[in-house]
Amino acid sequence: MCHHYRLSILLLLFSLLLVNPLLYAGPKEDLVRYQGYFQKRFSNLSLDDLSNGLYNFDEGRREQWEAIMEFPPYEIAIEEGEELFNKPFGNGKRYADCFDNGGVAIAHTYPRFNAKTGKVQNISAVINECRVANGEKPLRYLKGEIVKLLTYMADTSRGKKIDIQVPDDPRALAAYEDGKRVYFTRRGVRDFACYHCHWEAAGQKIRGNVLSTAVGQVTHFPSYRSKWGAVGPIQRRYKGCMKNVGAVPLKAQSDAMNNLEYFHTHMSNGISMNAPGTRF
Amino acid sequence: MNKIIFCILFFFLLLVSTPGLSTPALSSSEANAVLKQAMSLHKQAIANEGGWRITGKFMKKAKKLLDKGDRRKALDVAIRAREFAELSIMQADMEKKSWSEPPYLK
Amino acid sequence: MPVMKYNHASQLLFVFVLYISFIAVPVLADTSVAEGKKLALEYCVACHQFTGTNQAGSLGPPLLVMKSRFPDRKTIYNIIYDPAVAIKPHTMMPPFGRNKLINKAEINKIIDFLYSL
Repeated sequence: MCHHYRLSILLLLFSLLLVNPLLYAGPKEDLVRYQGYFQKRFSNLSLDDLSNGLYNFDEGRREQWEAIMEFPPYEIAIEEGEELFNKPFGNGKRYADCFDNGGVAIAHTYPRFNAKTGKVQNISAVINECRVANGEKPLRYLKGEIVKLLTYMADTSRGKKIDIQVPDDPRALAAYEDGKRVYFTRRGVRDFACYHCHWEAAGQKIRGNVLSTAVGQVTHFPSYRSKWGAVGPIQRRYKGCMKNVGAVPLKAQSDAMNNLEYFHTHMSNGISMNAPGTRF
Repeated sequence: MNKIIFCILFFFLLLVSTPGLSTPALSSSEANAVLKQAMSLHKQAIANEGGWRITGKFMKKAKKLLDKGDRRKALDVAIRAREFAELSIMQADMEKKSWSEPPYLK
Repeated sequence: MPVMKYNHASQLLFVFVLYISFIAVPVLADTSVAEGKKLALEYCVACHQFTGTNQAGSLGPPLLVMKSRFPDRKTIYNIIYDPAVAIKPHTMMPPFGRNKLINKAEINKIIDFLYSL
């Protein structure tokens, strides 16, 4: 008996040693786990389907949404954004000079890790960096001109698969891990973390609202929300979520918010961009 | 006779135990002091990425009550604000140490 | 004679107190249920369905036949107070008591209401 007991303990220890590095090896393994959860849970939905969020679970609203999408409310923002994007700065340079591929069809690769600063940058941050480098004033985040630029740039990535890289740099991995911490941290008087509403509870109703799946959420941002009456970026949405759970929202473009966006966007790797999108 | 005295005594006690009716006028400094503590704790919580909106709401309420001169209520509300601020700091500290993915994701 | 008068008065008072206590107890219980319902409509309805809700959430189980499902008040009390302890650590139900969203008396009113379902 005793011998068997010892043997089983040894075996257990051995298997833990073997399995542990497999349990957590990095962002790639996370991706398999995270996407696998929803693929198992909603086996009738493809990964791309997940990007349709709550409309996967609410027939009535899906019909209304499809009707709205015949004349999407974000069209003007795309046009205005393109105009702004192509307007040269005072020094004659353009936004296109600050991005790969002239800024076209790259939105699905942001946020990116910047090896120079050791920090994560979303497109908004690069836009303002570009402006300052060319002698222009930075734009206000979350609303207005910057959102129009984002809307146009996202539209040029429509249909491209989200492709967030976590390069082999300890600072990049640290940023990703920090984003994970922000994601799984309970906050606010109601003690909710992001995961509470968008994993186990996805497809369920909170009051009258159907909750979307965590995987596939980023693909339609920036998005027109009827609540805003405007197009807005994902960090504006994060702030709304945080307010809903009773938390003082984190500051837009702070390290914590950028890392959250990095982690949260990474989990949708491989899903087609359908931004700009509409939610109401 | 005894019963009447008892009854009068009883009602008197009831009156005395009702807050606000019997206590001598509070100075506004007490509520102000608690409010200040709440404010600094709330700031600390926000710096810790863990502020609660309800703390701000209660601080505002307490200030309004103070302006109206309702010091007793202002103190009660300020104390609640301070409690929320303390709880929010506790939550942020706890989460920093022990946040984790739910078991169903493992 | 005055003594008689006082006695009469005290008797009247005694009857009055008795009368009040008979009336008041059920009335108090009723108001407790009503107040509990008001609180439930404020704090519970986002996730739980129960009689009298129309835009209720579906995140938590519907609140039905609570008395027979939870004969011990303490069980419900503990869940409302801190479900991360009473149910499971990763629960999404807010710790209404621990975070002082509602106090002890209010939790008890909610339970009175839940027991009326």
